[in-house]
Amino acid sequence: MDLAKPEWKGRFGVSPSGADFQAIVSAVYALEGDAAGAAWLQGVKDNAKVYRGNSTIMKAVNAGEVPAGVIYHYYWYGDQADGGANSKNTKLAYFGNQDPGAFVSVSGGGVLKSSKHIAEAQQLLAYMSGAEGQKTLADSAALEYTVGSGVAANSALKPLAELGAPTVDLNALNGPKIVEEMQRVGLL
Amino acid sequence: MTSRDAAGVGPRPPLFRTSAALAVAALSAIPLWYVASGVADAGTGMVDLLWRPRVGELLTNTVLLVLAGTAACLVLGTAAAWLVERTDLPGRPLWTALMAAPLAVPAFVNSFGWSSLVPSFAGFGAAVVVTTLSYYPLVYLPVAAALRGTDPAFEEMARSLGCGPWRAFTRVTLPRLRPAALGGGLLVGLHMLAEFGAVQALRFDTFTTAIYDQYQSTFNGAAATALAGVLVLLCLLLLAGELRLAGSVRLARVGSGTSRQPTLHRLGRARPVAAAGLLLFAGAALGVPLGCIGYWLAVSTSTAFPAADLLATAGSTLALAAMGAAATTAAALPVAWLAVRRPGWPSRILERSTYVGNSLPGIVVALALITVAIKYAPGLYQTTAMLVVAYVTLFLPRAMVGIRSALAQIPAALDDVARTLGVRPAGALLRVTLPLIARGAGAGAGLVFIAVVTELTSTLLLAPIGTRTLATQFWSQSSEIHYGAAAPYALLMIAVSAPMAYLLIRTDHEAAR
Repeated sequence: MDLAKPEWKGRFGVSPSGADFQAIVSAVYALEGDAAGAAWLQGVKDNAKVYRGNSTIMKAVNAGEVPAGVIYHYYWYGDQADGGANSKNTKLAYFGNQDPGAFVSVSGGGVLKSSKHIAEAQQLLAYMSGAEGQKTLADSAALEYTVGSGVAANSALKPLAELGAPTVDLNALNGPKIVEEMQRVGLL
Repeated sequence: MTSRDAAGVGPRPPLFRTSAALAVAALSAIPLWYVASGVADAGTGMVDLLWRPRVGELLTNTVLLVLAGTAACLVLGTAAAWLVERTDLPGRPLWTALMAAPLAVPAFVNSFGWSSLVPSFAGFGAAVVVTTLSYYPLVYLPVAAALRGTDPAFEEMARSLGCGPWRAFTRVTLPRLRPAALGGGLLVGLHMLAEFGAVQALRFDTFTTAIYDQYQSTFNGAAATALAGVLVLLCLLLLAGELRLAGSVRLARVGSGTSRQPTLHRLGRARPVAAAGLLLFAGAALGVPLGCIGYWLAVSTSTAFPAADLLATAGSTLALAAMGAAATTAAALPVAWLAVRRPGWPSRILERSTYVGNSLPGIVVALALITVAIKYAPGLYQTTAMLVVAYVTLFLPRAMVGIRSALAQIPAALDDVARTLGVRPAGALLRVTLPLIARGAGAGAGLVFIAVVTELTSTLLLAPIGTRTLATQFWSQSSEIHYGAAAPYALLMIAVSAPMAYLLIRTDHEAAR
């Protein structure tokens, strides 16, 4: 929440056009309420340097263009695994402490009602979210956390339980409203 | 000696050509209809979406970029053409090739080169520099060709009547260059409106990048449509502006005769300065992107040469570009013919309507076509044919400019002569007109070819699943900052476009002889 305060002016980068940052905004609204959320968003609009994409933010921080940036963890781990050309001068810092910024975003899948292959699509989703699919994820270079299946995440990552994530009811998040809010303050 | 410009006006326009032209215009109108109906659907909500500070910001950015970039291209392109064609610059044949070569370097590869050379290279100035370096050949080529095609006798006559060299140039030669320069300037302006990859990488927001962001956040974007609506208005302004400035210059001559070699202006002490300036210019436009590609190929850890993948991608890109070029040229022909041979406001509107697609971002054109296809021809969705139709809609002006100016140089009397000798209209078109405009049409097709090779957003949306092009692969690698993996695709894109650019230069050269 401090990012909206004047002392952070021009000192961090965000990528408002991506769904990643939009998810964080929706978590702030869900946890702090609409009024505090809106005030925070206006502060971010005034303070943040705007980039497009997590990787671009990371590269800018690495090059010293901006002291800090808000990104998802796996972009950093991914670049480290790829030689670290764009992250060698950077370090990951987690918000922790149940701060809205420590919100853990979940990737989901869905099946269209109009789909011609509903059963097969459900089967694919069940496989991907099941033990076998999550094991594939853990072993891959994606470096995202595994969930819901008891399969441990990639050992390179800081354990999920230690991240100090706040409790957010994912079903309470309101995507369209957040986009409208971001349009209102001019981030989109 | 100018020929009758409306020669051959028949009692009524030819049915087949008119209906073909109407069909092409209808196709180009699809994106326009899509935007208009989106705006109508949103109704009064549109006001809220448009009347906000962000839109003002975007409007300022877009207008400034178009004005500054187009002006820079006009000045630099014309100056370079004059230096290369009409002065005693050392090494002129070399410059002829070097000045047109940036045509083969896509704007987003150029911005990739610059921003990886100077990480803080971003914002308005950066966007103007990169787009100018990428698009000035669109002015340079037609102006250089016009300079070569202009009989020096006009200028000499002015000199003999007492004009100084500078006055003779500004009062006699420059006006003759006006249609070529303005046509090129119009293309540049339209490109600036729709440019996505280059300005996005330089973190400069225009309507086009904002539209893309909107679509990324919400799929049913009333906000995106609103922005596209403003973009259409800007495009119409640009078209009207060019129309006003171009006026009605008549350039056709019956039998150009043999003009003598123009006397070259002596640059004197400015000679090394001019040569150094051009060298700097070429270094910025060609050296930076090529150097960076080489650098990334050499150092990056993500560099990989998946030969089979590269080959397959290059193959599908070439095939798409060839199909796109052929289809676009064929579609431009009837419209250009009507515009030149049956002048008047109906054919004007018909011709101008084909320019709108070029100023809209590829993503809007693609979404418009998808919307129409899903409703009326669901079989077309996810086919190569649909992608080619999108290319036609996007790149018609490129083909049109070449064909139109070629047609304008041919006296309509040639058609009449063929007809009096007993040839039917279709025969006259096939045996007289087409061979004469083949060069112009070929140059237009070449421009379309290069445009397709580097097209990004429509291809991302419309390409059948599994079809990849060099541009989409380069984009997906470089936006994940895997510069090393992106570099081979950039290099291939340039390699594929280079022969076409070379042919364009050659054609221009020979056409002027």
